[in-house]
Amino acid sequence: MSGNSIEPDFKPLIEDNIGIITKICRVYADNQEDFDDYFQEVTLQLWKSYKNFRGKSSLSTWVYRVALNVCLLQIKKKKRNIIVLTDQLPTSWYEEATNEKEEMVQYLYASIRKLKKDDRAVIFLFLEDKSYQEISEILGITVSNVGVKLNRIKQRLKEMMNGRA
Amino acid sequence: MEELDDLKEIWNNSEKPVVNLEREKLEKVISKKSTGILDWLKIIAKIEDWGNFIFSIASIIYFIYYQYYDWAIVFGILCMGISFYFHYIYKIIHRISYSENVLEFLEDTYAALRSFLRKYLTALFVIYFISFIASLALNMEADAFEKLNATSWLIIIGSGIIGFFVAWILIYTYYYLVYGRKARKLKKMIESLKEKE
Repeated sequence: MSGNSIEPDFKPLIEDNIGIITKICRVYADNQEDFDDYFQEVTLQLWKSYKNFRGKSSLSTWVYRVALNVCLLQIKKKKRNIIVLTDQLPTSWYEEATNEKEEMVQYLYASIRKLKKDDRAVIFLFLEDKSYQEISEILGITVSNVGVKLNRIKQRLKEMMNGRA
Repeated sequence: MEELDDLKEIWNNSEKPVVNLEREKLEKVISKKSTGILDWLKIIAKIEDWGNFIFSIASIIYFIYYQYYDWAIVFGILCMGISFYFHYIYKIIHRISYSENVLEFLEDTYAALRSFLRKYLTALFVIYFISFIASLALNMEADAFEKLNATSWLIIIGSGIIGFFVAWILIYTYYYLVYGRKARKLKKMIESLKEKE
């Protein structure tokens, strides 16, 4: 592997996991510009970490970890040259919702973004249908703590969702 | 409103984009410089490492030029020690991996941020202490202290201590301006994640 030349299996890795990356970035970004910035940084760090991926955890656990770590640590930067990797991603992020389902999803994202950054990670993994064990492995906290945190966050999210007109 | 567990369905059906990425664009992205704080820390650590190296060499040349060979050796050894310490911190930052679990990653990054403060204070202490002792010794050699009375001594020692604390405060201020906000946020996040509710 050298310079900017990507390994053959890296492109499919990003394509296969683009749904995960998109959702995580959307949970942490406040606007489209932030989203593109996060997306670029996640892709870059996945590439950098991919060289050292030893398969100790499953590929998806690894993708969740890298993407969450990037988003939790990312500093909002002044404008920089962002390469938009693809224009094939859903645009519901910044456009008006056209149906009730889309509206519900948008409201869910907006509510999640009101939570603390670490709480967003917990509820995000729950919504991704991860088991308590998997959430514990990704976040590095105990299974029992995952359960307790989830109860509290779900309650808070429920209140926010109920507050929707 | 649907129960939250029902929202999982909406969530999981909301976005399953099928995307065929352009290889060229992907290559452009991976060739970009990271804006992450870790990469930023690595750059700063490298710059400071070099800065310290240049300062050490310049100081040693200065001592040699004025034929203070003993001091050149002492200063050289100490600066080399600081350089190794800086290099050690650089290695610590380099070892932090985005593949770690979230808590471990945040803790390691926080520790790396804190190590910057320790590094500045250590460098300040060593350089200041050596410079103070060196200036005393050099003045003694020149018999400059013979005419000094107790008050003058007090002024010299007092201004040395005040200077040290001013430098200390400046370092803390620099640290908090550059890293403080981020360090505080990280600490909060770590505490919140660890919190047993």
